[in-house]
Amino acid sequence: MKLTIDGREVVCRDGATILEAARGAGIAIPSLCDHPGLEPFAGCRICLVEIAGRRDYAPACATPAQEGQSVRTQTPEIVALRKKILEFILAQHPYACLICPEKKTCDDLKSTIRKTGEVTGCVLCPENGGCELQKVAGEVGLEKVDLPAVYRNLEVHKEDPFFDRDYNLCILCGRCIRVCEEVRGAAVLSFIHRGGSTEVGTALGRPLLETGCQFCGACVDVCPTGALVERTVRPKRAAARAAEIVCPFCGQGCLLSLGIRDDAVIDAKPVDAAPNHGQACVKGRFLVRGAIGGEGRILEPRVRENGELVPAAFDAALDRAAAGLRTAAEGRLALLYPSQVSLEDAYLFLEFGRQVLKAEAATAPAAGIDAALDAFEKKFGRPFPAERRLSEISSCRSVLAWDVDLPKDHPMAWLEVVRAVRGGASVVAAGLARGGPAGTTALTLDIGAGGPAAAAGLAAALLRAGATPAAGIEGFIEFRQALAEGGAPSPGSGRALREIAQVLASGRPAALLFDAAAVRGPAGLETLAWLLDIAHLVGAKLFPLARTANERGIHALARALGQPSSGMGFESLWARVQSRELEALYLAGPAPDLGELKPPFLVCQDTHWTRNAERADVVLPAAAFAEAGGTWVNTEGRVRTYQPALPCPGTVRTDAAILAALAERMGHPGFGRPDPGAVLSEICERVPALGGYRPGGGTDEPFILSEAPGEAPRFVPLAPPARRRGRRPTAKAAAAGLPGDVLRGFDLVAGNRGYARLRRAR
Amino acid sequence: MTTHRAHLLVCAGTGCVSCGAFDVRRALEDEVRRRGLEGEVLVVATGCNGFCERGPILLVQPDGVFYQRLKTTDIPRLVEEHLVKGRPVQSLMYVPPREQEPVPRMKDIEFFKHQRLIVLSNRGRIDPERIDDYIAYEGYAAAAKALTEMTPEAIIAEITAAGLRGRGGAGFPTGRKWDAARRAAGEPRYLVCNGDEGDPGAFMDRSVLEADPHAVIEGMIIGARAIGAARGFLYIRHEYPLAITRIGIALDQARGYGLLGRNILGTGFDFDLEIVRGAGAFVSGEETALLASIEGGRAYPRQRPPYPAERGLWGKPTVINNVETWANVPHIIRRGADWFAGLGTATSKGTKIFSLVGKIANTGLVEVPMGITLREIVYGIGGGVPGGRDFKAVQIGGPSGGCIPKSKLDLAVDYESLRAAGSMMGSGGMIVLDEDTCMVDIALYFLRFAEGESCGKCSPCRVGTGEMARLLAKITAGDGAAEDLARLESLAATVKQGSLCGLGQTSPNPILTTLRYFRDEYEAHVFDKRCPALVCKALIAFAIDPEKCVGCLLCKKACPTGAISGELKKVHTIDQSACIKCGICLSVCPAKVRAVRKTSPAPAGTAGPGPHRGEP
Repeated sequence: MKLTIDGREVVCRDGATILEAARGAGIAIPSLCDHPGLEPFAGCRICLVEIAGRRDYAPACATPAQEGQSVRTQTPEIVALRKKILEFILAQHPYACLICPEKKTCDDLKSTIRKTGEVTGCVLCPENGGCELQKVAGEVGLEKVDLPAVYRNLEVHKEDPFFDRDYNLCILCGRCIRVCEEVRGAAVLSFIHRGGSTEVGTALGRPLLETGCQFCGACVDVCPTGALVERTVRPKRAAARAAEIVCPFCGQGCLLSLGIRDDAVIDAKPVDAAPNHGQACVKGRFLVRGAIGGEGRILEPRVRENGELVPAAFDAALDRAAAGLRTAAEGRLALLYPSQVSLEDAYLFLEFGRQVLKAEAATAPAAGIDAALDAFEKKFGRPFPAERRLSEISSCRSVLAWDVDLPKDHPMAWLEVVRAVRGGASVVAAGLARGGPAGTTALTLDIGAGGPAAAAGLAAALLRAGATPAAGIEGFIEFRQALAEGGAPSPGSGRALREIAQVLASGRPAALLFDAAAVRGPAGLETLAWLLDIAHLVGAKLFPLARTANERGIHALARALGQPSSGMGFESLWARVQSRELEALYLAGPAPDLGELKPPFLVCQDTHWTRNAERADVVLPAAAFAEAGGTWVNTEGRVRTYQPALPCPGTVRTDAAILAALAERMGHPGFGRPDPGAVLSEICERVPALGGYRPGGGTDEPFILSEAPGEAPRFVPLAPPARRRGRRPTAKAAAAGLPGDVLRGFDLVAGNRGYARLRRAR
Repeated sequence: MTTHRAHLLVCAGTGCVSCGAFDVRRALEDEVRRRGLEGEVLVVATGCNGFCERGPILLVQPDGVFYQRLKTTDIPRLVEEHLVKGRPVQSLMYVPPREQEPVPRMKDIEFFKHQRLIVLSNRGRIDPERIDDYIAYEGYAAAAKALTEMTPEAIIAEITAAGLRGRGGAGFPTGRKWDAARRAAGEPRYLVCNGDEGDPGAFMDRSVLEADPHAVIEGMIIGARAIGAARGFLYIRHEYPLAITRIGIALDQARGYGLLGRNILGTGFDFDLEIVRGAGAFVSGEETALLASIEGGRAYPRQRPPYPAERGLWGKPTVINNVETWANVPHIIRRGADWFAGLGTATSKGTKIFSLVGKIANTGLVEVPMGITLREIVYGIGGGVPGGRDFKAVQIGGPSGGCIPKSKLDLAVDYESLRAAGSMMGSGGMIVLDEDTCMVDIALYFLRFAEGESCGKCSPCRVGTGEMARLLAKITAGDGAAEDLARLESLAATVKQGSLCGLGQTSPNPILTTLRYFRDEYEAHVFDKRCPALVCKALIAFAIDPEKCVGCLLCKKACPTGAISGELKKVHTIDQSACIKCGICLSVCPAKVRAVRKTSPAPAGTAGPGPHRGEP
């Protein structure tokens, strides 16, 4: 589509707004309430433009561009009107610094900072440059505000974790409200009161903790003023540099941009690129800083002297560790490596175990989704047809969330569900799933104790409701027969089930989302098979979701290297710990508290102090994720490599450096490689799924972990399991054995008071 | 069917009901029963007659005798005299202002004589709670015609040819709106009736809903057929309980008669209506805000285009018309576009209902043909300004409208002429102002209203209305400075051009029209610190004329602050520093004496005026 803006011919896509068309052509129109990805609001009125043939001025953000339209954005009338409107906005916002002619030199002179900070508490202004209002004031060219200043004197909300809400600085652009509802599906914020008393607030003025807020921080990120600011950032000066990392807290692998000054992390903000597109969750947004620079970090090596752990020189500690590990008899030594590390580090740990220790190596107890899918393939002789791309969810017409807490454990998958629902999809929430986006109705399916019985029950209900598979799916008759012979139990009431069956069968394609929690345990493979059959019945895409960071990468790595992965080796290793047959344990990942089971010699290599580290004979301080860098694979199989964002603090060393130094002491000089790039190349050579990966190459086309091609879809005929009477396990019991809120030695709940409050409130 | 020799039509509009109309009806029924006249005389509660100032009202048919301001104690005599003895009761009849002789018959009363009833044709003659009454006056004939004889295109063509324009204020051609919705892509389509009438002093829509609910329903059935809607909503403000009750009864009855619901009149056409109660904000009457409210959201307007006809309720094509617009539709379909287009002016067809209030002898609701002059409305129907005061202006269109001065009394009222005069049709509120009204104070009143009812979404309206009100308050407090008038005009322009919805865009109109026609009053406030209408407390003082004072002590005794001194039969004086300008002295001073008078500007040394109305 073509139109004319300020005399220039501009080409834009159909359906673009005038603002988008202008920005695409490099024509700047100031705006405040508009934000990419949010519905137009047209409230601030700063982006008003003149359209030939239209009587009134039109807000560029909410007016669709039309073929042949002639738009003017900078007439003297509009420039003057914008100034007047900005004056209105600034009348209720401290503006001294925004229009101060000395604001450019202010940072050097610090002559005027107090006049805003003192009155309002907005010490971000004018220092960190993140204030969009300041930017717009410059663009509009406002020089004075000819209205009496109004300070609303609203009480600052400090009752919630992570961020304060100072609505004295709010300009009521509504971005926070819209992002919360439209993007996050939470809708915990709203405008309250009206006219000049309008404010942003929660239902009944409750603290956010009591509203269902997930503290994803999206509102903070879209706020154009200092009204919503991360609390720890408030007294800080602006970041001096930024570095991109992959978030290590869950399987989604969000890209985060760390703001860094003086080698300390100031904040972590989501990057506007796949897979998270500018969104994060509470962990990525607010916990990174504490995971790197917070309390409990191990900053120096220690060795046990006369029963006490005392600081030691790194070389001395390494000597002690090497000596202790060497003395263990063959077969009486084990390595527990961390699963939440980069591929490079995981590879080095595995190789260290094989080449240097010649001992059993296992990861922390994390039942990964790919391990379950592998087991499925082994048992049923065909690969599980998994859809990995999260972006495929939003185009589905219905969603079945099977025993999975999406907002908490898979936040980006949840955002795709929100998008699907806004496009008209219905949600069926089963088990741990809490429902659909706020303000929409979700059908809930009571699945009792869960497992294959529940899945079989739904399959039977779907069959009764007349769901028929698409043509070309084999094995339907056998499947139906097997089901009929068993007399499947059905979860929930008949009517609710019929409705659910109706929704799933008519909303094609459906998205069936689940994670390892739904398919673990001895009957897990059966559940997986039932879910596959359900998907065939209603034409659903199956989305198995990885819960932990790099889970899929390390699974592929371990499989290629012939090592047991994803916790399967852990059980045998732990059995040996319990039988006290180990003489030495090299513990580098999270493990249950050893207590009395501590082997005679224990090396702990970790980022944070744990009970096990306190019991160790040698403690080696390891670099945290952002200090080590490396390659990570998310639930979609998206592979990303990032460089170390920060130097290691204190005498901390990277896992790679520690392993190399230990190997040297244990008779393997030259273990590992000096260059992480070379390690990665070696991995790519040995791991078929990573064949051809080059970090940084072709960023437009992400590298996706390759998988075996699917075969023709086929039902798995199963006899329905006997109906089990049983109560649903409590949330705590259900979570047992799953990766908890830990990142190596960093316990998110113990390590962050705000996060602890949030988890208590949920 | 029983035939009665007389029908007693008791007005049961909200105005009369609040004056005791239901008590009067009960008294009439009791009296009729007591005298054994049940078979001969029928008591009917009707919708509002419009002459609200005279309530409770009773019309006796077929005589056409009009009784007014009835009390239950009048009833036995009325029944005895009029119905038994056949002698209408003169003392209960209406006496025009400045006359002695009562006017017995309704059709001879000036208030009714000049009106042209179309939308209100059933007022005062049918029981709005009985569908049979409505049908008896050709009710639902138009719907039947539209469903059985007309194509949707023909219905729209008829409405377009009639020249019907939206009665909610902006005057958009109804046929064009329907056509746009019919052509817009998207299913299902919806119909909405905007009954969120909120202008101060306006009650046209309430009266239509109360007096003739079926007319609105019938109009919507026809509209539904025209655009292909199966579902419609009546959004009625919660403050109109009687209207909501009667619409509810009417919907039930229409469903019972097969006029709503599935397969209407056996034509295979499905349509039903539901009531949504307004949530109590003025802005809910703005069409996009109203739709947001029906959807369950906060009544926030959104930017147009797209217009509701393209993307309305739940993003689907939606026709939203005002109560009065819908009520016009059956008449046009039944009597034809030519008949309707023959009424009114070149651009504005048909009639318009106005609520005539303020300083006017005959307060009430009037339906007049488009093109009637303001003079005919104010003097012909309204009986002019009472109390011997002089007419000053008429405020038309509520907070979005403006004040039209005496010099424009011969203005022929239609959409275009009112807009050219700086006002607008609005929903039809007409507030008559006399010489005792201060125009700055009036502007302040409306800006305070706009400020309080601003939804807060867009910055020009949220901040600008408050700022304009602040400046007006400053001027009425006598603190106005020379540059304040220019600032007011500048603020008004910004708010008008910058606001998102009609509420904000038109909110400066009360200022702009008063500045245009009464600038001298503003200047008197600013430069002379004088309120010519003697209203703004900060600028007036009370004084006792020593020539006239007879020393009766009345004002001295009444003064709440003891500001008046003086002895019996001696001239009294007011201590200005103690006076709080409550005006009691003026009201108690005997009419024969009239020694107390208001003056402006206030002499130096006057005490503060106390809190001005509306100020915190």
